Amino acid sequence: MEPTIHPDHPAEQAHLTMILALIQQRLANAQADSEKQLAGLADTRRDEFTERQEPLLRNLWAAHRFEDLVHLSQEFQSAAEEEKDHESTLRQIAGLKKLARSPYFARIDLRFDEEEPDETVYIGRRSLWDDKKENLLIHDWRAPMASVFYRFGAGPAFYQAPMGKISCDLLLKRQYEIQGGRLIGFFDADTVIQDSFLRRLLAQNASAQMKSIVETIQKDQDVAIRDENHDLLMVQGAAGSGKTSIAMHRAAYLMYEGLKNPLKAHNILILSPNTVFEKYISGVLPELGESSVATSTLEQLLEDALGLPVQSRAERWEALCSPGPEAARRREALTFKSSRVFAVLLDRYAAALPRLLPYEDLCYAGKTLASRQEIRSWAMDHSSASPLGVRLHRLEMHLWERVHALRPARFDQLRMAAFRLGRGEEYARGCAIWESGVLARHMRRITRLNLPRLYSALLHDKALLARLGKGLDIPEGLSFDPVSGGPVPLEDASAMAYLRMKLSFSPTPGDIRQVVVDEAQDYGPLDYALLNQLFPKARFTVVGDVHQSLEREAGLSLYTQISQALNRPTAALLELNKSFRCTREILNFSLQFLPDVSIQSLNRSGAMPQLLPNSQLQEEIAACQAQGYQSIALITKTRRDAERWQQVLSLPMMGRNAALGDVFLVPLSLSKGLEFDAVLLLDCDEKHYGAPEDRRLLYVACTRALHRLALFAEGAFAPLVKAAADLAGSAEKP
Amino acid sequence: MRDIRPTVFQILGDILGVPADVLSPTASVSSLKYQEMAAAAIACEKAFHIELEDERIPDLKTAGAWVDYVKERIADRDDGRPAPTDQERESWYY
Repeated sequence: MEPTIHPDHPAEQAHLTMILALIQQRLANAQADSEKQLAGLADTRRDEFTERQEPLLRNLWAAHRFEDLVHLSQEFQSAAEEEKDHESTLRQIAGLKKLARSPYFARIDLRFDEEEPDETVYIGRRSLWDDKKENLLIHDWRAPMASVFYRFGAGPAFYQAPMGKISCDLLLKRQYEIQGGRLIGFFDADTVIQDSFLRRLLAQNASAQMKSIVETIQKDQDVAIRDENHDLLMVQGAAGSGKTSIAMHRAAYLMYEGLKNPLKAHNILILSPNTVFEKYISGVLPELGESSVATSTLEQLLEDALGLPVQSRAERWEALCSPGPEAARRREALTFKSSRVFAVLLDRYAAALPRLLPYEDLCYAGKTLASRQEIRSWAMDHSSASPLGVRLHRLEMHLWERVHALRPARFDQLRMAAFRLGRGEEYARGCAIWESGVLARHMRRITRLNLPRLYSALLHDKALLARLGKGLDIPEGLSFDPVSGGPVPLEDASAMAYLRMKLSFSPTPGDIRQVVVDEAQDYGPLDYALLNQLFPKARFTVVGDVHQSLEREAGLSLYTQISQALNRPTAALLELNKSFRCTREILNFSLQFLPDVSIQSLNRSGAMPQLLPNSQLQEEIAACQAQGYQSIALITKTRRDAERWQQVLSLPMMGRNAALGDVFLVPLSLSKGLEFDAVLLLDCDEKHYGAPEDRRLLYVACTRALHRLALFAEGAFAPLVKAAADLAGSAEKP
Repeated sequence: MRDIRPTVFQILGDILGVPADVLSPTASVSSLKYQEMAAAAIACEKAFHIELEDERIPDLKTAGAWVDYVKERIADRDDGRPAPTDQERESWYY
C-alpha cells in the first residue's frame, strides 16, 4: 500500500488531528492528576504514620484494644485506596500514550435506517469517549458493532448486540496505517486489498514475542474469538492459521467490559506447551490493554496436584527419541496411558479400591481403637457421596478424637510407670510421643492413600488388571518404575493425578472460568478427563492441529474424544484451513509430507526451499543474515542433537531466557507454536527421519519458517525428504 | 502475632546444645530423642500456653517445622479455644 492521495485525505487528516489533540489533552489532565495524587499520597502516608499510626503501633501490644486495631486497619485502608486510584491513573496514562501512537486502524460507515443519518464508526485497540461521555469517538475492537468490520464486505451486514441481532448496510470499510500519530495512508478495503495488506504485514520479520492481530483478524477467526454460545469451543487450525492468536484475542475479548459477564484476568488460565511458548505469548494481552492472565503447563498443574516432580514434555520427547527398544515400548505405553480406555480402567480401579485395600485393627494403649471391620465399613460406606480419600480422612479425624479422649488416662498410666522406674514427667511424655508417633504412622498406612504405590500396584498386578480390564483392550507389559526421587513420567503423572481426583475430589483452587488449551493435539483423552476434574466449572477453548502431534498419531476424532472427556453442555468445532505464516513455496513443500491434508496459502511468494549439504550451512546462515532476517532457527530433532551441533557451531540454544534473536539452535519439541524468519532444518538423513511417522515432525519443523527454508544432511537425505523435494520441485544442491 | 521464633529456637537450642542464633528454619532437629522432644514440647507449651499434640511431634524434623506448628497451635488457641490454665496444664502431667 503506497501513501494514497485520496479525496477524503484532508478530512481524514483533520479527523486524526482532532482525535490526537483530544488524546493529548486527556493525557495532560491525567498526568496532572497523577502528580496531585502522588503528592497527596506522600502527605497521607507521612501524616498517618507520624500522627496516628506510629503512636498506635508503638502502644499496640500494650493496648490490646480491638478498637485500636480496627482504627489502624482503616488508616491503612485509606492509604491503600489512594494508591489504587493512582495506579488506575497510571494505567490510564499508559493507555492514552498507546492510543496516541495509533488511535484507530479502521472505520466503517453504517446505515441503519434510510431516514437516519449514516453512522461513522472508528475502530481501535481501545475506546475513546468525547468530553461529555455521550459519543464514542473510537470503538474498542471488541465492541459488537466492530464485528461488522471483520465479517462483512460492503453491503448488508449485521451484528449481535446485547439487545439482539442488529441489521445494517455497510457503506464503507476503510483501513488506516497510523504510526507514531502520523497518518501514513488508508484504503477502502475489499477482500482483495485486504489480502495484499495482510501479505505486506506478514512479509515483516518474526519478533521475539507474539504480536496482536487486531487489524487483520479474518472472518472465521473473528467468529472463534467472539463465540459466547459454547461451553467448549474447539479450533482445528492448520500450521500458521493463527490458532494461538485466536486463543489470546479470545481471552482479551472475554475480558471486555462491554460484555454481560466479562471475565477478570484471574478467571482465565492458559495452558501452554512449555515455558518458552509462555514467554512468546506473554506480550499479547498487555499489548491489547488487558492484564496478563495466568499461564501454566500440564507439568506444573500435575506437580501442584501430586506434590511430586514431574517430567517435562521436552524430557519425554527426548526419551521417546532415544535409540533402543525402551523408547518403542514407552511410545506404545504412552498411547495407552493417555487414552480414554485407561481412564475407564482407572475409574474401575477407584471404584474397586475400598474392597481391595488391606485393612487391619488399630490399637492404642493396649486396646482396640478400631477393628478392621469398622475401618472397612467406613471405607465402603456407599451411602456417602464423598470419595474414598475424603471418607478415610474423616475416619482419621474421628479416630484421633477417640485417641484424644483416651489420652489423659493413658498419660496417667505412663506417668505411674515412669515413676516406678524413677523417671520424671519428660520420660512419660517422651513415651507418649513415641507411642503416638507409632500410632500415627500406623493410622496413616490405613487412612492415607499412597498414590504412587496404588498406581504401581494396578500396573504390576496382572490378575487385577485382567479383572478390572474386562472388555477393555489392555496392552501387555505396562509398568511404572520411576527413578527414586526422579521426576514421574508425564503420562504416569497424568494418570496418577486423575486417580487422585477420583479418590479425593479436590478441584484446583481459585475461580477459573475459562481454560484455554493451546497445542491441543499434545494432550490425550485422559489429560482432558483430568482437566475436566480440575476445572469442573470452567468453559474451555481448545486450539490445536492434529497434524502437528509429535508423540503419537492423532486425527480429527481427537476432537470427539475431547468433547466426550470435557463433557460440556454445548460444544463446537471450527476449522481454519488458511495459513498466513509461510510463503506459498514453503507451505507447498511442507504439505508434501502430509499428502492428505489441504491448506490454503495466502499466496505470498518467496524462495524455494532448498536441500543443502552440511558443508553449505555457514554459507546459508550468512545468506539469511544478509537478508536481514532477525530470527534464524537451526532446528534439530532432539536436544541431544542440538547440543551436538552447539559443540560444532558455538551457537546459543533457545531456552526460556534466550531471546529469539539472530541465529540459534532449537530442538523441535521447543519450536512448536513458534515462528522464525528462516528455518535451517538439520540432520535430515534417514537415521533421524527414516520412520513413516517422521512425516509429522518434518511438517512441524518446515512450517515454522516465514520466509526461507533449507534442509541439511551429511550425505544422503532421508527418502521422505527427497520425495517431498521432488514433488515440490525443490532442487537438491550437490 | 508476635514473633515466636526466638523463643522456640532458644528452647530447641538449649536441648540440642547449640546457640539459638545458629539455628535456621531449615536446621534439622531429627536427631532429637523422644525424651528431648518431650522436653521441647513441654517448654513450648509453658512458654506459649498451648497444648501440642503428641502425634504431630515426631513429624517435626526442622526448627522451622517446630515454629510453624507452635504458631498453628497458638492460632487454634486464639480461634476460640480458651488457653489452658496452669492448673489444667499441671493436670495433664501430674
